[in-house]
Amino acid sequence: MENQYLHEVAITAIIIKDGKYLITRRSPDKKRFPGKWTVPGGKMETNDYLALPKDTEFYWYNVLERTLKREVKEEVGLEVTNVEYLTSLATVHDDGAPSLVISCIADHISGEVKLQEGETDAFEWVSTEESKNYDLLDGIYEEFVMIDKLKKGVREEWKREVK
Amino acid sequence: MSAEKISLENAKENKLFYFVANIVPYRESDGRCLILKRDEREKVHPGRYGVPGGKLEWSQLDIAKPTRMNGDVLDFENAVEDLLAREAKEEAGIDIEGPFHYINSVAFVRPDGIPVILVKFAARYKGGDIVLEPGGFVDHAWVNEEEVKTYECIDGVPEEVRQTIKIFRK
Repeated sequence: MENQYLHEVAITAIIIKDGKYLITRRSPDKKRFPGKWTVPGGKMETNDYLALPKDTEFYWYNVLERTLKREVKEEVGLEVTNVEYLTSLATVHDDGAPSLVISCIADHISGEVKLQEGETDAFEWVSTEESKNYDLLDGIYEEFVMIDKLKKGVREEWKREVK
Repeated sequence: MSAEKISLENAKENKLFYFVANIVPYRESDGRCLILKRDEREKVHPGRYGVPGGKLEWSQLDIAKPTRMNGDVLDFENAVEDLLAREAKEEAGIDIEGPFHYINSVAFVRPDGIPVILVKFAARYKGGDIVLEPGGFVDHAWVNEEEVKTYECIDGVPEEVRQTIKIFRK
């Protein structure tokens, strides 16, 4: 019997610059979602913190922020700040692996987009309206709508939007 | 083809975690937060005050009923939000309402070697009388950032109470 509590944990970043969101296109040879438009992110690994000194007796703090900053730097070459939680999603991949995806938003500080080879092959900065023209992974458009509302001071849970 | 069952066969060991979320319930009427005293017989943090929370488990993901399909991938939206609402109900008998505010996240390794990602949130208390989960908790208190200091809490809880109050007083 496999341990029914174990999950992959992935973190994604919607990076905001001048009111637009960064989207990237997944390489055609990726196993999961080839050619689809998405946002930067990746799976957490124990190596993300095990080698680092603990912040308190038992804990490594700010693991979300730390992993997210590393993933963003690796995948799109940007520095980000103000990492904030947006929403969560559990998924079961076609290979059976259970994952939890934590979606965050972050502000762009510096750097020009430089894509990591083999991961993604194109990028765009888009508004929520403009994002409709791209073949985005399902759910991301709704997250953009959530952020647009957040900026107007309205915080909601993820819900289906009619494009 | 979508998965027919959940399995770790294709997952890498260094990428598997227990995912735990905690919630600090905030009561608007008096600006206090709920803390719960753990049973003395608990293995972890016996007798100390903490907040509701729990582990994500596969049974939450009914692959026959995904809330959305993304190609061959089965999606379950608001997984953490649902987990927190359920744990608040089970452990303390209360209803909480979104939106959920992120407080912080920590990683640790359990004594049995399993790595854990723990993410802490704050949300408003909506209603319901306190009913503590038998065998889990033995007492509760509604506290502000000063009062929490007089209770023997799990590390980090007083700070999370302080941050929760700060988030909602804005």
